[in-house]
Amino acid sequence: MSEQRSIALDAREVTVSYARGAPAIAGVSLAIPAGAAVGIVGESGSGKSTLARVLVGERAPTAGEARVFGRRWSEVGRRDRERRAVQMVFQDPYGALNPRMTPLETVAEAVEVVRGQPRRAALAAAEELLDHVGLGGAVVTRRPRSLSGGQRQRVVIARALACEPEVLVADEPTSALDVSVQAQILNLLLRLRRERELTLVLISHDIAVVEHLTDEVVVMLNGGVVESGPVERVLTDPHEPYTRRLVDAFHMRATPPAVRTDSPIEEQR
Amino acid sequence: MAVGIAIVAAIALLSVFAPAIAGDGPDRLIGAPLQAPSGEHWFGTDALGRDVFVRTFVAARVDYLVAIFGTLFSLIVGTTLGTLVAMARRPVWGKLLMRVTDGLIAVPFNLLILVIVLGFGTERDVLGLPKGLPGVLVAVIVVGWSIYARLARAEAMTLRQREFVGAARLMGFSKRRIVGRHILPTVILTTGTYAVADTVMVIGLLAGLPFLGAGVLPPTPEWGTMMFEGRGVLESAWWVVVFPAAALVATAIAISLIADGLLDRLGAGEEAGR
Amino acid sequence: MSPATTPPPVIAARELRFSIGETVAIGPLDLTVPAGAMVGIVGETGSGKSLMCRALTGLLPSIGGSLDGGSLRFEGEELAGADARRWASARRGRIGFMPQASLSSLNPVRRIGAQMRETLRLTGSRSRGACDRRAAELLALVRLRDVPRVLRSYPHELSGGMRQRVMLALALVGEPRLLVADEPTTALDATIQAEVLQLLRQVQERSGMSVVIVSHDLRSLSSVCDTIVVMYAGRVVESGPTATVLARPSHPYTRGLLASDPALTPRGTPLRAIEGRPLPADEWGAPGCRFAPRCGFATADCTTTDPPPEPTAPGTQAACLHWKEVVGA
Repeated sequence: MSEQRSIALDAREVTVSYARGAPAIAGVSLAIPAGAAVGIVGESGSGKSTLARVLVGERAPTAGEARVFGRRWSEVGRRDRERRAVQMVFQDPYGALNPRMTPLETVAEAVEVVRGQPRRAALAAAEELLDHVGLGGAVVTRRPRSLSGGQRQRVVIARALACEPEVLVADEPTSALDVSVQAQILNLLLRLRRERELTLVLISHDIAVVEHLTDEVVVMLNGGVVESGPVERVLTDPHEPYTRRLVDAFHMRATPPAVRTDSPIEEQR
Repeated sequence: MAVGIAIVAAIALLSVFAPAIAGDGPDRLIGAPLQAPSGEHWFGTDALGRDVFVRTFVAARVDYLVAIFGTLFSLIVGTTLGTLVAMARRPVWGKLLMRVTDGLIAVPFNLLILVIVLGFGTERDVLGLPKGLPGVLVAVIVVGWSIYARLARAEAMTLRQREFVGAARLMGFSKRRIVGRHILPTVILTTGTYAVADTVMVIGLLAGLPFLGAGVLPPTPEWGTMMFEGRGVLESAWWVVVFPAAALVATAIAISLIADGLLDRLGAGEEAGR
Repeated sequence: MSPATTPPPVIAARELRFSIGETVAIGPLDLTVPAGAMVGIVGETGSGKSLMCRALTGLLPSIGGSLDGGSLRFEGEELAGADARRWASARRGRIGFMPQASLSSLNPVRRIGAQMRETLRLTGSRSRGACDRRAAELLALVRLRDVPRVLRSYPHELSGGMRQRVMLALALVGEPRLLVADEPTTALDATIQAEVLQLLRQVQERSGMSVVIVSHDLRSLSSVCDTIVVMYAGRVVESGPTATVLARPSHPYTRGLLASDPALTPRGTPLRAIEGRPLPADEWGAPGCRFAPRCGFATADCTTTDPPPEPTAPGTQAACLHWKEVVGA
């Protein structure tokens, strides 16, 4: 029993394919231990978002199995605690909120439905949650369209927290945000993880972000996992050629041209 | 938009109070036939000596009734059906709906309405409504719902893909809640706005029916019927046709203004993106 | 190279002011792009950097903006106040422009080859054969393999990275003296970003032209640019050689950008984020430094005086009343 609890999310030989063309992910296996912080890195088209959706049970795989705390997602009902325990933060803060509901209403609804609290208590809890993620005052009663990307993303996080999750899966949470705001959201995720001992799965195309928040990294390419391991090791000693390219790009960004010895530019594949 | 509402409200009010104001009933033969507008009969009298003023505004009851109820039912039926189909798990429902509505839309509107009206018969007495009216109402609803269903389905399918709906599923919200609180309100805003503009079409259709041999039976006043009956004396007694026509045009303009105003509000209300 | 023959700067802008619509007014600002240099302009959304691209290339009117004052010299020729025709003749064969969003900048219903031919014809009448040869040359210059296939493809059939290379090829058609690239790497994956930037550097070194790259990513720009210009809320807040700006930022915003970059901060420690959010354009009219609301070094005078740019190191300028503290911190 306790062994099953120690693996939060589990994908076994998962394949997801659409009507035609190559599968989005093929035969991928990945286990996320409870309490871990894991990053999934890859370019667009690598399948990382699809894998995320399989891991959170939003998408059923075409082949293979996805489990949460030992139970198959297909067996988990919408009112079960496993469903609540795994929540997601999305890439596009503009689409992740109902445009007709204020932040307060959005989070309060989550509290009401998921925690079963009456309306008034839910509103109070919502206000507290929003304040906890850095949104206070008049802002919480405005419609999403008048909020900035960073503010919307905080609402999304507050809503996820309303479910009292044990696992948070963040799919490119900062890609759509201004540079000066990205750090704020990353800090928030870091802090929440510590405070609530969350399991964190962070998906990004930017290894710098992943490197900063996670301990293990999984590198994906063309629907499969090419390499995985502790973040420090992968960054200093990448095994696979694709990983090496990723790591090189990461290091190159951090050095001005005068200091760097240029490597010959690769031809476009 | 306020102007539009004012005009419609005025006509509606008058439709109720016109007989009281003018002191006559729409069916009463109170004057000499075909008298020009005068102090006694502000809009003149028609071929049978009935007061045109009273008839014009009482006719509004019929036209507005059909427009509002016809559109309303089409809206409700169509939107609900379209939304439910969009949320269905199996794509077969969507295809079925599309084929059925394809068929309905492909046939010329007027023809379909004509067939239904005539098929329904004009002699039936339903709920004490003016003769011929129920047939028209049924026809409008049967033909009208299909557009709303398609609109609703398209909008709902787009919304379904949005991440806030995905989030709702992740949080374990029931399908009822997702559809009822997150999808339907936005969908009905779109179809509702379309419906407002659609009422004009419906009135136009209704007014055109007498010219095709169908429509509300006399003596019930209705703008189309009044224009139809008065077409013979258009040159000599223009008021018999012009006033109902003017009322119809005024209504059409008013509704367009309302629809415009709603669209503006809607445009500002929806998220503007970055 | 003897000092007497140093070419004039490709771009010399002094007290330049431009605007779009009622609320967005940028400047006054100074900018110098020396010949053969690669300059990076860094700014977030709303900083005015995209408008800057268009101001430098005379393309403001096409999006409804206008140059409102100051001097803008291109290779010594004064172009502020020039009409559309003078701009067009100044641009032809001398300025290349890579707009943002390649997917919407390329005609989706025409093949790449046809679009390149169209541009090539504008820079001199050529036969179809000559056009195709030149197109192939350019595509090879931007390191695209399988040139015939690319020429035959439609824009949506190419990957984002390949499209950017095509945009670059198109911008290089007239062998320009100046290339302005508006966010050439946004929306590309990290590895492809690095490649495109490297490519720009290589092309620049080979041809000796000047390049201005506008981006929101300070780190990427600093890997290929000689000079960095930092913009915030319509002003240039800092400019100088890359190495200096990175090692010794003298404006709080620059410092904040560097400190909040995960690539620079040790793992597991909180990033030093800049509080608040970028100032929206309708609030630019208020007196004082536009960065003050978010600034850790701000004092009372920061809210009343708009700081002018001051030299803070050889070749570097910053617009901050407290730059000495920023450098010392």
